[in-house]
Amino acid sequence: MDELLSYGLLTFATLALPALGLCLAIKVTKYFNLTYGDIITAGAFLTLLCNLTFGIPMIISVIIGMILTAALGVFLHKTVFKPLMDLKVGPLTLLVVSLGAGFIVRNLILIGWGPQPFQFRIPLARAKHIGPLFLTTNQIFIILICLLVAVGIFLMLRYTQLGRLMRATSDNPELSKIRGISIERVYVYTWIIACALAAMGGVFMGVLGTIKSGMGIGVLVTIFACLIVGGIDNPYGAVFGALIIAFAMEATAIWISPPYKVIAAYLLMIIILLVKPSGLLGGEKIQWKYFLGFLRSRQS
Amino acid sequence: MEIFSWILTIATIVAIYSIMGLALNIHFGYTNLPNFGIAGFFAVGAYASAILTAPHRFRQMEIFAGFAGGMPGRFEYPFIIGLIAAIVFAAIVAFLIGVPLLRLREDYLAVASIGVAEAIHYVALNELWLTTGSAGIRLIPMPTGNRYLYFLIVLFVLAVVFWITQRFYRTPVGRVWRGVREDEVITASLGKSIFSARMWAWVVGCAMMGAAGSLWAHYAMAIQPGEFVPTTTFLVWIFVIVGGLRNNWGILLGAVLIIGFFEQGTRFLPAFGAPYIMPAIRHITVGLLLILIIRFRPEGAIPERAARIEAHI
Repeated sequence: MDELLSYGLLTFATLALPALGLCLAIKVTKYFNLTYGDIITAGAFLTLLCNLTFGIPMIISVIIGMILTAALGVFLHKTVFKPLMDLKVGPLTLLVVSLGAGFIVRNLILIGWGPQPFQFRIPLARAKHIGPLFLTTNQIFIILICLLVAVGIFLMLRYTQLGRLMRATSDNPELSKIRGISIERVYVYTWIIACALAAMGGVFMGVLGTIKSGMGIGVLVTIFACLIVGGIDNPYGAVFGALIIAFAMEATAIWISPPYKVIAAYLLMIIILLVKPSGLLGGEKIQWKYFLGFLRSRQS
Repeated sequence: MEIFSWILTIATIVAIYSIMGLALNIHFGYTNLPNFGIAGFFAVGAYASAILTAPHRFRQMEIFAGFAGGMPGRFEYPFIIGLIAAIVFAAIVAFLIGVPLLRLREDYLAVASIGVAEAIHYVALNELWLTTGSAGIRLIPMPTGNRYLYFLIVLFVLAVVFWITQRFYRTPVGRVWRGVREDEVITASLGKSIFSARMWAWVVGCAMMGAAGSLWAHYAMAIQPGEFVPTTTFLVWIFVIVGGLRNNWGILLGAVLIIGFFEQGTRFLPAFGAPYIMPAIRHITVGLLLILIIRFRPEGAIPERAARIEAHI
């Protein structure tokens, strides 16, 4: 059980911030960006560039990596997605375009670093017992930062002007425009926040394990499971979903088989889709009759 | 003769990819179901066919290599049974996955189907008794044993799939699919079941992807889980969109252009650097091509035919 608690918390720390960022991006821009998985990878590798190649200390490299990743995200938004959004294309078209953009980002990383896995240069630390947990200093640090940043984002959404703008835009873009909000600026700020969170998530993955150029899609799928489980347009739901998915994955790894972690996350997502399609913290009540949903929709 | 052999190889690969493209046309072009799990159904078909047709000799080899037991090599059925099993298994898997997934909104369905393909990839990698894991299945027999005759078989299957896809455009069920694509509410108000229409399109398309998987397994004569990665899916998407979504001739054109000339044809070019550099450059170019096509010519090279008014009164 102690093992599960430690590993679950660590996996949670890697999943929570990207899930939160993707949730904000979907909520505000109203389309699903498949590039996000590769932006996570890009964040990790840009930090790796500072940390390993230029030998900058880890903390500063993370900040530089976040800034560069945010710049990448805004660049992609301005060059690829904004022109199409101006043409008023549907969310599905934007999704297909984001597939192409992700393809480009992934292969650029592949050209730069090759297919082998990498690790950050960070001081090794001995694991210590803290209550039921068995963690190294780095790992404790990661969990604390993750929680702090998540709380910070929630406070930002609730109390700052930017948070209010983001919520207003996501609620009703037309009305926000009429009220004089520059939607485009809100989009840009959202992408900056989402990409910075993605970079942090990618760096956490690198600190706890390894990173490699093709990891984006697998990570994206897990994060998507978090969003569905928690409720796709609820930022609290994203973090809550990350918690549930993380513990489900680690429980599978301990008691069933490590390679099936991702499948466990996926099965959980499908169960939630059948029982409560809006997610655990989403809008509607639990609809148990969806278990027989196929028969039901045949009749209707 | 060397160059002729190369052309034959490329033509076979293009034909197999075209089958997947036509299936994607049924999913996305006709019914608006964005299936990003093509590689998954491709893998189901390939593995179903390979497991059922792999010869006993393969088991002997694996026993020497330290792996004993498992399903591959136990059946030794002929190719045709492998092909049918591939179609049936892909359809069954598609049905089971479709029950929860087809409830989703289109863009969420897209991401969920990527996950399905990933899950199938993990199963292929880890269920050693069924798939022999990362070692893969080898010695899969090529029917007729002759690449020229086998190409004719692939062409025949492609022709059948093309005919089915073209027919579905005009049949009542195809019209319901297109109705679902254009406006679900109106289609539902005409008394059609949206879920049933989506499920039919989903299962038919996935069965075609399974057939493509079977043809691939028997052509390559060896498969391993590393082939069924999202890159396959994305290539299919890219050539379908470049060639002309919703038009079957356009899809064939896209397959020839992107898969034939671009992916396979550029293998002649001198490679430089590490072995992963050239494919990466190719993929960056097709990614750019996808973005540019959607930006400047969203209907693709050959657009959908204008709807003919069909009066039955």
